[in-house]
Amino acid sequence: MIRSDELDRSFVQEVMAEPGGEHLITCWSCGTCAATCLVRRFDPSFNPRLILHKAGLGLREEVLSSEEIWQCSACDLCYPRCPKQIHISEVMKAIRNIAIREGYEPPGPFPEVDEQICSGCAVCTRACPYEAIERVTKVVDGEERTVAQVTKTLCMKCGICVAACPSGAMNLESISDRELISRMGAGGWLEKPGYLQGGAEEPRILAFVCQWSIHSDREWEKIRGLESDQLRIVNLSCSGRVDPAMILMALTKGADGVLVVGCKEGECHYQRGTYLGRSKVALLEQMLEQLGIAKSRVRFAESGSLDRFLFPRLVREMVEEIKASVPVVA
Amino acid sequence: MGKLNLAVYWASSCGGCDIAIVELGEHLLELAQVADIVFWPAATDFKYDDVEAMEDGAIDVTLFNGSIRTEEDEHIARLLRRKSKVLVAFGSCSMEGCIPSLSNIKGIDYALNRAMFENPSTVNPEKVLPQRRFGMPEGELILPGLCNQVRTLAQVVPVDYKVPGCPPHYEQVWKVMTAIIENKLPSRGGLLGVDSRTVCDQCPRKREGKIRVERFFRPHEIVPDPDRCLLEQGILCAGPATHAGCGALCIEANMPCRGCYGPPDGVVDQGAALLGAIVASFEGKSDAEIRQVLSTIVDPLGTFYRFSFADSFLQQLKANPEEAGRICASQADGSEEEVEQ
Amino acid sequence: MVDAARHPNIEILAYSEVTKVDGYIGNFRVEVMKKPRYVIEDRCNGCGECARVCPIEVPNSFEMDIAPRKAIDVPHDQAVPLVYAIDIDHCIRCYKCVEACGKLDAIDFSQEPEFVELDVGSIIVATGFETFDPAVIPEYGYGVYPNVITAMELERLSNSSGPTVGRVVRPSDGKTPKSIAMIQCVGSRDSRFMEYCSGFCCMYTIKNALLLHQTYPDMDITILYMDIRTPGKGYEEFYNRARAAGIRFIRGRPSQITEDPETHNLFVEVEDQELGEVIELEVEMVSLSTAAIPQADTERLSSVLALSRSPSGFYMEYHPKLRPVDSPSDGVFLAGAAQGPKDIPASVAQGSAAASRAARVLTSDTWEIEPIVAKVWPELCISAQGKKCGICAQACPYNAIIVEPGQPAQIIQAKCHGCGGCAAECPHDAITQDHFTDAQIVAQIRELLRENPEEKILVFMCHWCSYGGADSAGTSHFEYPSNSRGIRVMCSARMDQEFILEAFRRGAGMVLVSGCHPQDCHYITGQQVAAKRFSRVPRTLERLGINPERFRVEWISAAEGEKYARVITEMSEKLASFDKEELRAETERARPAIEKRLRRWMMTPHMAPFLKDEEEQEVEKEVMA
Repeated sequence: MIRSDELDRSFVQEVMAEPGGEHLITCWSCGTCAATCLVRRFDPSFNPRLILHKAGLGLREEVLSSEEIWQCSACDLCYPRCPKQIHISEVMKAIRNIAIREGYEPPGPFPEVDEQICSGCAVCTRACPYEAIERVTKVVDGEERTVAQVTKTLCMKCGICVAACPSGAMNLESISDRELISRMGAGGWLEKPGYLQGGAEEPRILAFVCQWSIHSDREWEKIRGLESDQLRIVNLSCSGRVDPAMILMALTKGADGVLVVGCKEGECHYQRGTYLGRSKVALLEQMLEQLGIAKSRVRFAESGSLDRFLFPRLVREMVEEIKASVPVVA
Repeated sequence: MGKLNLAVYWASSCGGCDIAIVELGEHLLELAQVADIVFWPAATDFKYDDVEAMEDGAIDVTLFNGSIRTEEDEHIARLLRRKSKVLVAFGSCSMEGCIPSLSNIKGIDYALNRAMFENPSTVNPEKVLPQRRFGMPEGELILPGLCNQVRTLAQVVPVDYKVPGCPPHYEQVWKVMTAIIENKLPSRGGLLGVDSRTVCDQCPRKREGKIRVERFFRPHEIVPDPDRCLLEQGILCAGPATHAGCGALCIEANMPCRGCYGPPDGVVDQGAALLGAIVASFEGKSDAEIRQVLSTIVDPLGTFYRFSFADSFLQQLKANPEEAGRICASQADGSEEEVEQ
Repeated sequence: MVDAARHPNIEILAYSEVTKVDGYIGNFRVEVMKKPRYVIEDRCNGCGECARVCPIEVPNSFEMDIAPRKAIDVPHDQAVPLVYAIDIDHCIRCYKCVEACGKLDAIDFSQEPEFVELDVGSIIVATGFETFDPAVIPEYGYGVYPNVITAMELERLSNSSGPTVGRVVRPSDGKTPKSIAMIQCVGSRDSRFMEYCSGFCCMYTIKNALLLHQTYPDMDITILYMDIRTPGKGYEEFYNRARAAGIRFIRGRPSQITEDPETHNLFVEVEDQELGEVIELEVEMVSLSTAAIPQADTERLSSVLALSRSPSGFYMEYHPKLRPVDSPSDGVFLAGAAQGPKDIPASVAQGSAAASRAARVLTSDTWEIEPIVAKVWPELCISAQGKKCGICAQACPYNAIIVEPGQPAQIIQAKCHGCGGCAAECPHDAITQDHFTDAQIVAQIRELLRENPEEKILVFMCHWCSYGGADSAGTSHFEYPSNSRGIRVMCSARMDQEFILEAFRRGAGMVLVSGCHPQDCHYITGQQVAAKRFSRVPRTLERLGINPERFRVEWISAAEGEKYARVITEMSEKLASFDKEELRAETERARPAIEKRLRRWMMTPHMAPFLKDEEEQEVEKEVMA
């Protein structure tokens, strides 16, 4: 039981005084945000409505010390749907700012910078949707250099920096290059000859799928069930995590086509990840065209929050396009 | 210890790499004290026969520059491989294909057509094409055939070391020479004549770090601020994805890095790495905006793979079995003189 | 309706539009445009032969467009009068109807709009409401997924005289759904669209659910709601019945609906607030309980009838508690959902009330009005001198002023509500308002600023809002400094810029002008007239050498006692920060310029004595003597 003296009424004022927190008490707990939220799919304990409600009640310590407040990635899928027009991610940010001042930190793991390799080129700092990477000047191996440094309280672990780093200095354990490549090639999938090489009946598709772009568990199960010799699915933390080198590598091996599925414009879980993924594929398409190779061999597709069972269609379309556009080597 | 036997060869190249060695200047005298130049077509008068006459492994180190464009290039590459204890792919052409390998994008026919007929500075009303064999009063002239593809040295013969750069910076060349002279070459397979990390590590310009660009400019379109990061000013600079070693020379001249020092350590495909880095620097909040930014990158393929196309995944993709058979088929007379594979 | 049609004293002009209203309570002249039906009313007997032969089918709006109707038709079977009309936009002029009509010869393609003029004593506005179009909520997929329908469409589907003869079917395959979800508050209680609660959707949804349950006992029915609102008599019992019948209620607002493209089944995602868990509900059909919204032409009619509208867009009543049936225009009354969403019993009650309010007018020979009306001094009105003006008429929210060149402005007293806007706007001080004359107000200013004016805050308050706000600050015992002095006028529109200048001439430390919030104005547009005027005041003050920080405008409702106290406290603090000597010096410096601006008052009847200090008057008297 919560006793009334545990409810800190000043917490509401504290949050509302923080920039972004102004709308805290306009929430009446309709649950639209909670039902929208994609984080919940991976972590059912996360509930934006409940966090706002607890903050409104004044459960100060419980809110500030919870791991959940760090999980909102400000994808703002809930914001346009909120009937009270509460910018929930901004309220979260306000709560986090208080938590940061109180010395709380989000749980790891975070991307790690290999300072031996890092040139401080600032590609990652520009790539990061959250401005969570700073460049700091420090002594590394007796030499004063400028290297990247991750600000934990801002990092959402999307892996965009890992993909962006041109020298492989950035790494995030669960979504490292090595991890992805091993998933791509597991079971020798990549080594089997493709349709264009005359080794398969049907084009073989490798799909990089942003984990947030498929919005329901039911659908994920179905999609997973589609995996076969013809179709390999590698899920990404974000379509912005996709590495052009991996796409090209797959194409030189047994993949006839590489499909990258990201969130719909405006729905990206990491704000600009979709654009990064889309841009990379767009440039690859352009280069394939320049080379005289059918650009249908790579494709970026959006899957919106309202799309359901879109993925099989995307794969089907890609297979058809490849068959139509590329002459098969006898 | 006797004097070292040193060979320098140029295959299809511009000659810049030879100049880079000449640029050693007085160091050449130091070099001459410890090494004999046994073969260097650009500077000395040795014939192929002289090399053929050597025992296998007679040359201690061969610095091989230039890409493999002709049958002759390939022939000499194999010859020098046999004769050399250490074969170094010297310079961007032999290491990763460099500018010549961009011709692989459109293929040899296109390249020939372009060079012999379409080039605005070419006057060739009779449409003369160089002939493989040509009868002269003095006898039949035979030209080496063109290969379908430009290849790197390593795509033809095993290579012990690679020295990047177009051309390699002379200070780096001297470092390589010193290592050879002092017998301090590292274990085989690595890069020589480079510094750690990327060009950005050596670039003195100020990087704000959060600025993203809304469009790209070609170098002639703006005069960039000499103190600020070129990429942040919208100039497509390859520095982030290029191995350090040049000392950021171009950047000092207020020009962007073009990537001649090849990919950083551990990076397989320089163009892909550069593409990722460039995309990360875009500002775009919608598909339309992104298309807008993308449209300002003229010729992405040539830009991202200016020096490394022959050594890229894309080259592998482009080469269908027919073309990629590493075949140097003769062009003009249709003779089927195949070079051993 | 049929009874009304048969009543000898009731004439129904259906398919008509009110285009113009002149006159005033008891003496309205109404112009009505009768739209051409292309069918002669007197001849048509409603047999329907014409519709049977008409080859053109168009969407039937009465059936929510889910069924067709002919291009010649009646709105619905129970329509009164039962006279056919041709939808001329869709008619192909095949004249089959003419043939079918035969010797009745009721069809007449030559009809034009006809204007009729009616003399009436009172007007009742009962224009009803529309329903919100849920297509603007993309996450609910209305208009995209065939099986997402509105509650009104469900209503037609389950109606035995509807297009399916009462059989509820899915639009995608024509089969009766095995499960249905009903979503509440679609478009209402939503600050993106309609902030208000539409009030009756909970009840009709429960009704629909019970109806479906009776007809299809096996149907799985779920109602998704934020709050069930059943405050009427017997309503909660009805809700209990639905619960008892096994209707599933889930508290939570769905975030989105997606569709299985093959089965066209729908997945409704909703957080069950009681569980704190998200439920993905697969159903065969979804019904959206959409908000009730004002009729599309509410605005047009509001300008014809000089009616004001609430922030929600519905017509505003004269007073929400005391005169809920009257409109701000005397003799015009409101009934039903035109005034705000309401269910049938409430509509009937308001309709009856409106009828009896209207009858009061009709049975009276004379009508009493408030004595605070505006009056024109004809000799001062420049319109009388043949000059163009008419500013007063523009300021009047009730169209009560007639300005004709060569004639002084004429005020129709029966229409005047006494806001005083015209008196303040008149650039020649040719209008005054009884009981709020310039002289009276200037006298008040003089008396309130008699002692230590530089320490005072002079507050102009409107009768309906800010005066109530000040009152509420007092009755609620909100503390605020005691140096404010208030002058009450009927509306902020009465607050003449010259009053503000006069206050500064008298040395007031600060001046606050206050009135209703824009949407609350008692006089329709009075606040707007005032706000526009006040926006120019700071520049004027600056030019006169008065620090514009000494002037403030605030909109304070009768409920905002706290705001009133806060504003006065802030102003008082600011006033304390000024140097008193400097304030006095400022006043002295500005006085000649202000007096120059106020010179016209000297010519206004009864004004002169109030503009001078008593000492001056004494001197004047002595001189006269």
